[in-house]
Amino acid sequence: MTSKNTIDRRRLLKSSAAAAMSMGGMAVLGNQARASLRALTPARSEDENVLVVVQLAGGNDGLNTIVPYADDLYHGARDTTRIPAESVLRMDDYRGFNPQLAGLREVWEQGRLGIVEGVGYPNPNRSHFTSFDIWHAASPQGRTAGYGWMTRVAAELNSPNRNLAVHIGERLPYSLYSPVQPSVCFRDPMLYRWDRNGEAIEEAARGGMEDGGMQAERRVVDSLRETFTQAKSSSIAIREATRRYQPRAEYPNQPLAHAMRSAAALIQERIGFRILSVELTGFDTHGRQQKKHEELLATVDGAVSAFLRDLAGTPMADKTLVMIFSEFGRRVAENGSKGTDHGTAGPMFLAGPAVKGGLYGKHPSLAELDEGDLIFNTDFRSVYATVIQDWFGVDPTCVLDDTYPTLPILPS
Amino acid sequence: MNRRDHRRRGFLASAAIVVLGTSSTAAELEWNTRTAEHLLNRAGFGASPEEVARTVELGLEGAVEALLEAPVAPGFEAERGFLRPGIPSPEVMVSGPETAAWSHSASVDDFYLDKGELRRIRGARDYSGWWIQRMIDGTDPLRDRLAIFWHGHFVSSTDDVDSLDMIEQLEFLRTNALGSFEDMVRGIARNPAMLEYLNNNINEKSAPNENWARELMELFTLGDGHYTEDDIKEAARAYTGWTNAGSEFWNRRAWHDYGPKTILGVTGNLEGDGVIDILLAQEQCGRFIAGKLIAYLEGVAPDADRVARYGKLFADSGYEVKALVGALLRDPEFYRDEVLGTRIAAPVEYFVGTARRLGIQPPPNLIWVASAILGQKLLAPPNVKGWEEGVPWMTTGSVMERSNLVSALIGEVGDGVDAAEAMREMVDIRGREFHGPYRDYLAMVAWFQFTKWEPSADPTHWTDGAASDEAAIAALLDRFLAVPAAEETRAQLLELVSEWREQADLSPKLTDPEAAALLDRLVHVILSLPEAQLI
Repeated sequence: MTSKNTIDRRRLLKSSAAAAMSMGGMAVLGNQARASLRALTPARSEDENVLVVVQLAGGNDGLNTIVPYADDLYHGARDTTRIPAESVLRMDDYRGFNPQLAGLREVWEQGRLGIVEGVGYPNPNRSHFTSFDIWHAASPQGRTAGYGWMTRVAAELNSPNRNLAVHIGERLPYSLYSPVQPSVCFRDPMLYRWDRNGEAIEEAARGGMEDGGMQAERRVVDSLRETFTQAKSSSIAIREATRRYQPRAEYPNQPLAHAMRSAAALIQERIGFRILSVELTGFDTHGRQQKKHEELLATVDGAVSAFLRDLAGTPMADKTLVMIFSEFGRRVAENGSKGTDHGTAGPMFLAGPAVKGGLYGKHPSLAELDEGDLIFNTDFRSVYATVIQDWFGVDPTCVLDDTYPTLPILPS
Repeated sequence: MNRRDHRRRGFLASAAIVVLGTSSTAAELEWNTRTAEHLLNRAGFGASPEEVARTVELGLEGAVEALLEAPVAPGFEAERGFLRPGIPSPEVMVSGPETAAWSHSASVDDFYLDKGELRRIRGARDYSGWWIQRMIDGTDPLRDRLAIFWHGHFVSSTDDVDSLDMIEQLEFLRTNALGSFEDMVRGIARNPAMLEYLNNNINEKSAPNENWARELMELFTLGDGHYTEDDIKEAARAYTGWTNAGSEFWNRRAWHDYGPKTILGVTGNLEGDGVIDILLAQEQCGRFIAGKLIAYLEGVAPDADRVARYGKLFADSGYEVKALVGALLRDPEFYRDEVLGTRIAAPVEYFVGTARRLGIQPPPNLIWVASAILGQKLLAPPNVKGWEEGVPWMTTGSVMERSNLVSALIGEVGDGVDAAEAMREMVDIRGREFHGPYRDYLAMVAWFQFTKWEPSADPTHWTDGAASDEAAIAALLDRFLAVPAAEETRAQLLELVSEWREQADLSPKLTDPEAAALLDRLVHVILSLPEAQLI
């Protein structure tokens, strides 16, 4: 193990100069070298801005996340799943945070949390999988519309760096899917390596121009080769960055928090990643919802607020934006199983020092419902467009194929 | 070959003719080692070159018949004397069955924290181990292959359901895997694990729970876009009162909504079976299931014309899975270039296939844990849609972890450390935190320690008869890859071998008995290649 590390480090040092030139400030450089490199190539601030997307899978109950505690219709619709007015963490005289969201409430009080209410899209689909495809491809056509929206943004960044988009978790969400430039995806930095025969595998996996076999299998093999190449080009940088990283805040001992700590390491060590993704599953709370949902929100709250505390006061804090979303909300009225069925609109969260904290969109009316479901008022692509334009400096129509009104939530 | 002479069943013959007869583009099928291996890869779990040669001898019809008509092997209960839920002895409820050497170990169990989790893990572990053993050397591979498909179709999970109920569900799906889809839907609608997983066990008339009704239409019978939200709400009413009492189905009449319902245009005082009648009468049902099964076995989504033909065949046969699969395995299009060697092996297929091609008998629990690490945890699919097959299996991280894990089946694969040692070393260094990824690896180490298993295959056996390094490499590539390797890849492997030889100051040719260590290492590199992820 020691010898392997030494080799890695030696190889890194040898290639660091070249890597630094081609990758815009590799983490392998010391602080001093990095600073001098930055001085050589002054970057516009959006050239370094980073987005971290937290995906809540299963359909998060928006009404129990930002609770309309003063609305009698809310309490009337929910017998066992309502949050009593006295326990919400109040924001104003209508709504308050779920009591598990104490960390996010603090970010709110610092003016660094933007909450977009009533987010959805026309003709809401209540299938987890179809709705996720719509969010991931940023189109009602789902996957047939093209690659994932986050990889489409990455392509517009015109970065020479291969390591731009990463999901920290087991399976890559479609939002990060691209057959042309595979996104990085790993579960844990320390597992992100070939333990044995790595160099031999890299060599033999390259193949060649004159590959044998039929066209169809060549296509599949070629696309796998891209994945191998991407694995090779990101593995050392990610492990080195994580090994070096000293968090400034304590993270809960929980997988989502571990993933966000890894995200913080990749961001702070500036190895090129601009778009990062993590996921928490389990939000499909059809039965006996209350306890489960509270645990889930506490998990999100613990991980996200630790991440923000970790970054706070560092140069990258101002350049890091956290976005939290779910594929749909849940029905207003609870079912007979102390749970809630698939619904429609819900809140989205944008957090970070750059965010102009406050409420955006509109809390959906509990009086005017569509067959028992909330009616959305802000298209999720408006939020995407805001991030694409004001955070990444990219023309949103290049990614979304259409224009959507942006929200004044980020400095433009 | 005269296929018709071999057919035993009228409906199979007519079904196959309908499909093949209208397929004007299909070339005549060439039956050879490539197509025979393809059949064994897709309808089973891969094969050694020796088995492929025997299958070529059988001819297509003989090979397909052997798969379709394999005697049904005994189930888990029969083989293990497993006690049914409902009459459990306290001992079994606490400790799980202990009929195999590797089924129980304090040292393994120590890695799990709470007792509830331990009990769930044990049940899932024992069943998964038994199932994987059957995949490795069972006599009924098509049934096991389809059982995985149905497990990923009618999904429930030990994450939400007692593992003993999950085992019941898996045994039900296995028994019906080649039987009637209608029986499967009706049975799964009453299956305690499913009732619990999709919350229908708490679906009552005052405020129906839509979870089961939605997935029944969206995922199990019709597919998204072929029903309305109102159809789901009405179907949820029809299923009110379908619950379970422990491990038995219970039609709880006091919870049932006896009012009229309208589903897909049909109105009546419908109950659960009435809903299934309506769903099975939809043309879309046959198409949805046939299309999904073809996509699973071929690895490529079929075109609309083929979906329509096979959908009709399936429905006309009375939803007999054997009719559908039999026609598909005889269809020349199943062997077309676009399909051969282009499907990404799921983790279980990758490890089981490797064990079969290596000709080894690893403790099945090693494969269970390794597959779980890579996202395919038997009895616990990731969500109600099951595992997403194909390209999503391959991420930048999983290509590395596959390579690291498969070394456990091979032995010394480099740096002079065997696989178990490598795992232990990894845990020493990385196992500081007791969560997710690390714990899975800890479990893997525990299985090594407990079973004391060490890879023991004699790799020189695989190059038997090869006269040169080139020929030895060719023999290995032929054994382990479903696709021909590129010339460049062969050249690179040859170069690697000579490098290793220099480094180790060894002179043996790959064909010499002393070359075992070099061969192990070479096999590891081959199994780590992009080509080796394909079947």
